[in-house]
Amino acid sequence: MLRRYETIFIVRADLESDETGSLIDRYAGIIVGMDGTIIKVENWGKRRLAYPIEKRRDGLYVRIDFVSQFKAVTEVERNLKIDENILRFQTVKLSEKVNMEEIEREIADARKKEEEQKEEARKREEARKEEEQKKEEEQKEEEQKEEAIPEPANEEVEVSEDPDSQDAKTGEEAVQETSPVETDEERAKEE
Amino acid sequence: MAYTPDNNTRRPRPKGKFFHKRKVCRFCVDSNIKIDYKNPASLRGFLTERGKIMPRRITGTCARHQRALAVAIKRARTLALLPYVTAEN
Repeated sequence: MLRRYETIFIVRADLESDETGSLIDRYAGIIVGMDGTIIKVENWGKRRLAYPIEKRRDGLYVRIDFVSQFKAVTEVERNLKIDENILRFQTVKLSEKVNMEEIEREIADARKKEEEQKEEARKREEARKEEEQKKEEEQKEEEQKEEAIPEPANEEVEVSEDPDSQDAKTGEEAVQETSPVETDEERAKEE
Repeated sequence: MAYTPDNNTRRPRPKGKFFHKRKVCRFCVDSNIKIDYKNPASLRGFLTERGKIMPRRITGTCARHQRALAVAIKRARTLALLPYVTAEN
């Protein structure tokens, strides 16, 4: 009698990723060895535990979704119980009856999605690399420009100094212009 | 002659005083919400500050969904996704 189960177990968070990877593969292997089929293996990553288990505050959550006989579940749980790297595990029956065709379809869909995601990730990385290259090129160009620029920049500074002096002149002129008007008025008053 | 109570004139009911808004089970209203023990954030709303399961009379959940909720919360607790107890402060 095939049923669909999901097992979630918490692995010690201080293990290295290689070790956790091989550990997950081991338990998946046990299920496959007992004539089960694995639908999905999810690694939720490191999470903070709601309460400390064995004096640890963090744990790595792994979920295995599979179809198998019940004996596979007992075998996996026996192994999980022995393993000191496992803080906690729980198996839940998802469905009593299993339609293998649907599950095969589901597995195929999941694989497709994974491949699509991988492709998207690749594209993104490529886009990033291209952007980085562009940026680098732009930076190089800017550096080249900057190297080329300094001489005209000095000229600009010189030019910018000139209008100030012109302004000063015009200011003086303006003062000169206003003063005669006042003198005119004064003359008018005097008259 | 038989006594006929005339409620309308004698005792006007105090309006609004004992009126309670009927709570509706939110899982019945929206069938898209699923009770999932793997999603602790969705279950957090049905816990008290101390981490106890909230009673039906407060949340308004129907009996069927309250049972499902309790199971989900208990499963989440064994996986340390939700606390059994939360200390004060």
